[in-house]
Amino acid sequence: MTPPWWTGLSPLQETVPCGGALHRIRWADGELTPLDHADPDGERTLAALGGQPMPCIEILDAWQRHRADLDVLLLAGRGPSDHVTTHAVANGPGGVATSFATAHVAPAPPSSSPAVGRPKFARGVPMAAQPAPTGPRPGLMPGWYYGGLSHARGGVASYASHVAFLPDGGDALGQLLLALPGALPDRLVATVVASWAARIAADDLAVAAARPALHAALYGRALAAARWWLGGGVEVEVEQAASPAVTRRADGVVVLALPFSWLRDVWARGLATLAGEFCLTACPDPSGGWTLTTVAADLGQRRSRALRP
Amino acid sequence: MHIRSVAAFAEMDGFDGELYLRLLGERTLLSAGSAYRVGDPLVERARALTTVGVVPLAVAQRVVDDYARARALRGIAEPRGFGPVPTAPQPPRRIAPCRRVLRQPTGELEIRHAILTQAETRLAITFRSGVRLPPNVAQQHAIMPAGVSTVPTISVTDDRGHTVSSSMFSGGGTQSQWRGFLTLHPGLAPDTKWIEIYGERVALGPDLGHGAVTIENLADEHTVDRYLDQCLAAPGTRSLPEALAALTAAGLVNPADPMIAAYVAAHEALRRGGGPVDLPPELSAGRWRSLLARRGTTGGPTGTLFVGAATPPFDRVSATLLDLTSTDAGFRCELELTGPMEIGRAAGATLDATLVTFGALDDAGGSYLGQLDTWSGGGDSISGTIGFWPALDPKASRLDLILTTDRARAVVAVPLSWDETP
Repeated sequence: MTPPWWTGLSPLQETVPCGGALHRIRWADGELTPLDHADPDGERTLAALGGQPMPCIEILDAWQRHRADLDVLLLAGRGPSDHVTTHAVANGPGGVATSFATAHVAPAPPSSSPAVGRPKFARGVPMAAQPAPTGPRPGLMPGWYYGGLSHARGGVASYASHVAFLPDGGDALGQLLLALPGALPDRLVATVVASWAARIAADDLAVAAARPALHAALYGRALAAARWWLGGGVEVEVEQAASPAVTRRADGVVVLALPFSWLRDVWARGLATLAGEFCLTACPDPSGGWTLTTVAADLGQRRSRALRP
Repeated sequence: MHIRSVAAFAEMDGFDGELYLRLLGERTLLSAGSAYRVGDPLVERARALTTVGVVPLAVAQRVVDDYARARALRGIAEPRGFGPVPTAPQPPRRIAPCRRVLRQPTGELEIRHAILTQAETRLAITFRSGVRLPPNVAQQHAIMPAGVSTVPTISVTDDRGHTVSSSMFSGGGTQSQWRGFLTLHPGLAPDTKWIEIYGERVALGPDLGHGAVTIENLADEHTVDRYLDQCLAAPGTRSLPEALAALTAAGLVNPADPMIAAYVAAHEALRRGGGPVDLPPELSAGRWRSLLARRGTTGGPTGTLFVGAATPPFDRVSATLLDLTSTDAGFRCELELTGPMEIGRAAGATLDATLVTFGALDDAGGSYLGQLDTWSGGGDSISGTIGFWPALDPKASRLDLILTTDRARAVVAVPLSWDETP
């Protein structure tokens, strides 16, 4: 049985300013929930009748609108060297330009237990501490290379002002979702990736028109991961393929052949590279661990690796 | 010749232009630490593929806009162009020749022509200093000509009795002569029959007509060749290497083709500057070969004539050609250009602005390349000077000034009857 796409993505809980207080929003099992709003439908009705819109509800609604939005894949980070700074994304009439800086880099590695209440991504290496690869890196350190996130805490306070001055629910709000605190933006990316992977598997008619954008989403992320894995100086190409493979062409170019579902199964779980190897597949096992197929930088034989919880 | 027609290409199925541009967008996003100083590869290649008809404009523009947003979220400023940004259509205006010289204590003030709109009036003027100067001093660049120590304020009256005073000058010159514009706000009556300056009445001629202008609509063939020609004619606006990369990926050109090698050689020669260049004999590059072989040629006639021709709109732009001045080393023509045009990098990431390139052909068979040397203005209207090289053939008695866009060409026939030495 195929595990749900969120398997291995730890639940998250963050706070956002809402109605003069800090409210909790929680992501778990693929869904976002505003914990401090018992009746979101009732609050939507009140807002429609002229009441004050509640940021938590607006975030929730925006999340639903953008959960299959390819713009999320276009705008979100590709990897450790791709720093997204979501600031001044929206200025409505008389609006304000506030800084809402994030270092949105890559998903966290999987966790078999909830992150709430304990240090998040304990096994991850904070991306802010990781230098971008600038050249060949023969001695890759073991462990996770795509780790936790480094979001500017100061940004949270300015979230409310962003929401207050947004044009109604449009594209800018999608960009604001990428500026949510913690790893919530990564969960949104994972949601979008999972949505489109399911559509591809189901031969959805919408896939044909979206294929260039889907291919580009895979291309950029795989390319960023491969550059991180191989270091600078190696030319890499990424092709979309039904099953994953890594080869080296006669001209020395390393070719990654990957299905779009690699983004959901491997990249979104923070498993793209580990211990100096590139991960081609990742499958959860009944014990709560993971079985990975990896390939080393010499492009030798594939290896099967077990990751225990 | 291995340049394939776009029509032939359209029958093929194998190049996905949107995918090509999106993958390029991904690569540039990951490798760009800062904005591109000159030419964004994504914009350049999108423009090339759109212009030759391989990728629909709307698709290419969407990809360019998408990656502009992605870059903005990464704090990578988009390349900012200079000059006019396409805006709303221009209001009607009248360009009236006058050619009147007013004698002043400090020299001669010539009113060459007037550009009149409801909002403003601009007088094209030349001031020649009355101070006798040694030749080497006379040609020195100067903010104000000799004998003029303060910026004057000039009052101008129209035939309705409205008077506007201004000291808003734009232009430049030497110790002996200054050329430029005096701008009056608010504008005089656009249909005034005369203006009065320093107590003298100056008659304004009728608006310029289209008499000497021929418009040719260019067929949807040879689009690749024309685009490559644009890259050579406007190297500050079009990137030949990026165009060749995109067109090669699309299967429209073969880099091993001698014609492509000729374009690259001509591009390199143009980029280097200097004197005449003989392209390798195995390469054939049309007019570029003869043009480069004559680069640096001197011996042109010296004189000025008033072209006085206005084109009707062609490919959404229109031009008015004014004074043409020939010197020993080349010649230049003043023009007014309106429309959603692309000047330098002004269009930025907008793909549907119109690029105008300039050339000339004389009746002795000589061809010339023109480039916008100086310009001023904004919105979608500029005043500028096109500098042409090499020197005009003194045997020529007629010159065709040619303004070319992606889809059309305006040819202005000019009899070479000099009426003034510069």
